[in-house]
Amino acid sequence: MKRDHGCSEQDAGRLKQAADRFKENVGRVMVGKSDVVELCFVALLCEGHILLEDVPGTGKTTLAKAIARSMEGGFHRIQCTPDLLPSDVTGIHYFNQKTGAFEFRPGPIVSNIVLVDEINRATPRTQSCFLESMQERQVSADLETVKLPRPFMLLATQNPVELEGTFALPEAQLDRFLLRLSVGYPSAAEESGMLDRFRDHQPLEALESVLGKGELELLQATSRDIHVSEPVRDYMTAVCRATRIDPVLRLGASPRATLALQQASQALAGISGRDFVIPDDVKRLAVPVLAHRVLLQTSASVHGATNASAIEQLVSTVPVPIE
Amino acid sequence: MKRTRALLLPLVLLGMQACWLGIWIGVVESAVQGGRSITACSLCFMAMGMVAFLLLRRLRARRITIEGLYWLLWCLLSAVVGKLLLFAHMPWADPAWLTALPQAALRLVFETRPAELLLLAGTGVAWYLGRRSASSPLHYGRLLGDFQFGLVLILIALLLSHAVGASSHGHVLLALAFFALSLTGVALSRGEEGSDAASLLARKHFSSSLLSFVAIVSTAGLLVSIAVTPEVISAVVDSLKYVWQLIERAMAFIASLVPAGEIEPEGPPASATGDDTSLLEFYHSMPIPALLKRILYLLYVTMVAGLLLFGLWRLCGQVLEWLKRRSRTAGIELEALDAGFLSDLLALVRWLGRKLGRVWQGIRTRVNPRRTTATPTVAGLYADLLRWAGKRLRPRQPAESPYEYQAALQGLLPSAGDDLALMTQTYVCTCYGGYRAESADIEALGRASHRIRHSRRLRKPDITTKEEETG
Repeated sequence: MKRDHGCSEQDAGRLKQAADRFKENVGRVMVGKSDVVELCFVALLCEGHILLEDVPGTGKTTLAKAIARSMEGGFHRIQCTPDLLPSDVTGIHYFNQKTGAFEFRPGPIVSNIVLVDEINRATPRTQSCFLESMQERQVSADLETVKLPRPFMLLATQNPVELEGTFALPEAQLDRFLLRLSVGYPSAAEESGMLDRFRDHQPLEALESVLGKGELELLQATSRDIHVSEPVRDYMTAVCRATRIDPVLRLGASPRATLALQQASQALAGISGRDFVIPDDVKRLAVPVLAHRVLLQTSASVHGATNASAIEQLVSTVPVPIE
Repeated sequence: MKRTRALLLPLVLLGMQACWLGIWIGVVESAVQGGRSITACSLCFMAMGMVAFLLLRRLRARRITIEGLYWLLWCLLSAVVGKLLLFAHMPWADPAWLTALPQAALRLVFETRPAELLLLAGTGVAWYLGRRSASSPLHYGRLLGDFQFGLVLILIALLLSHAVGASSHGHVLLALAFFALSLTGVALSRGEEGSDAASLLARKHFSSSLLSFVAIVSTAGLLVSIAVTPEVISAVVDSLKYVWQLIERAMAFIASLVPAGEIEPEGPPASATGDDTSLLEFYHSMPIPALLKRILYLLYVTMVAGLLLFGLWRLCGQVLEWLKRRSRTAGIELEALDAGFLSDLLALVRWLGRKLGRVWQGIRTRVNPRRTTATPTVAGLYADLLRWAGKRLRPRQPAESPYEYQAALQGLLPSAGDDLALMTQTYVCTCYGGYRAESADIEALGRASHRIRHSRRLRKPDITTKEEETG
């Protein structure tokens, strides 16, 4: 069979190889959870941000650190607390006595990979300072605007159980996360393997970079070239539009979510070794991409529905295009 | 419990259909016939049809053979019933009773023989419904759709019953039975689909839920019978009549604009009075051929029926919309009636189009055999596979992707796994990947399709298993 346009199968093969390398490397630290690591690589290819949401001790921070170590570039960590100030994140102007002038000292946000730990412990004022950096890849401090280094990826973690002293993330910020992932508990075999692996040493310390900056940029460009046919595009639109008319949902997915779904589907198709997107990619990504962007009706949540279950239910009703 | 439900659902559907069909036959019977009742025997036809279809299906013959035998059986049975009910005085050797039913069918609209026609139509519909209950899988959507369809038919029948002054004593009971059966069926099918909460039946409280339904329906029926008095129905019918008279007047006015030379001068202008008799006289005196008159009459009847149906449809649609809005907080599920009707209508049109297309293709092939050598496409071959697998194995769910459907089919046809994978992969590459298939690929697909159709099935598809898989 022949095709005349878009990226080639060889390009998609390169994406798959890189993904396998990345998964293997992160897999040295994260036992099992290859699907979560795969989705993290999807976000990396889309230069999107990830919200890792789970109970304490499931390896959210470890995963974020392993991702940061697996690629070249700077890494900073911001530990969010209620007294964290926006200037602690963006940076400050200080008076340099040697030069006799005010100089800008960039904050931890100015890096390639930024781990924002327990993001929901920061106050709304501090949380809002992430908005600009997440969407426009820049930070403003006083009158100065600083471009963030590329690739820029923010990995935020939050604990959905312990809500005392936390501030729920606003919708505008949630919408800026490409994926919301849950690491989950390991299986019995995985947990046993983890005990064995972490007995003598910390594998995280020994982790090396497997992805150069230049290579990542190339892979990102390839991912954007993955072919999305018209029926699949219509299917994505139908899924996102369905969230806006679903009576179970109070707030549907935004147009930004539709774009995110397309980008993520392209990346997932690429790392599966395909040079085109299929409806199965969209189905697999519907929950991680859309669930955190929608709001449930109160009545539905009272009856035990969750965002993820609502999206799953919705995807199971949208017809897949077949010629 | 699952087996009980699987057994109960067809019976419940049969009961629902029997209720609305019983009302309809009762209404028509009281209007046109005066002889012996055929309602009971028509309803028996439904059960007999279901059993006959189930038995015929065991023959494992071609579908067309089964259908032919099934409808031949109907012809024989309806002729015998017609003889027993309507021509009991005739000797069996007299062929007149045998030809009475075909004659009734041929004189369908104009010089009808009401008793024979009613028998023919009633048993025909019942026979079809019996086959329908036995043939297609039953699920929540189907039961809900049948409930809505039956509801509209019952409403029309009750209005007709009032208009023709027929006794509606038994109809109310049948309507109540219809409601009870519908609710039971919907709840049963909902429980079968593994719904989280809606159904008490899912939690095995069958008898209590059935009693609750019957109690609710009976109370609702009582309240409705108190509120909807004959005076109220009269007022509704009168207002409908008034609206229709206005439409008639408008039509007559438009007709009066036609130059007088085309109409006989003695023809009284129907619009002047709006009276039914003068309109009929005017119609009879029109100087147009009899055949054209019949066609016009047929069009007129179709238009009136269509308008009435449309009005009812809109009314029910609005009521259901209102209910839907109200139920958002109550957790009730309602399907929009207009959407249901529209999809049914579209499905009917599509079905007719497909049938006509096949007939046309057959004619073209016979006229010019070279046309059959047209190159098949990947999409065409895949569509053929979907059609074949839908009939023989398991229909594809609308939200199922090609790979998901492939996995489902592989469970039923394990020996054809590679061929199914090849067909799916090729189709996905051409449909979603923008690849162009070459002639070698298409030939390989053709061979794979042939092998799939002739591969052995592992086991008979089980309706309950399928629904679990898809659910």
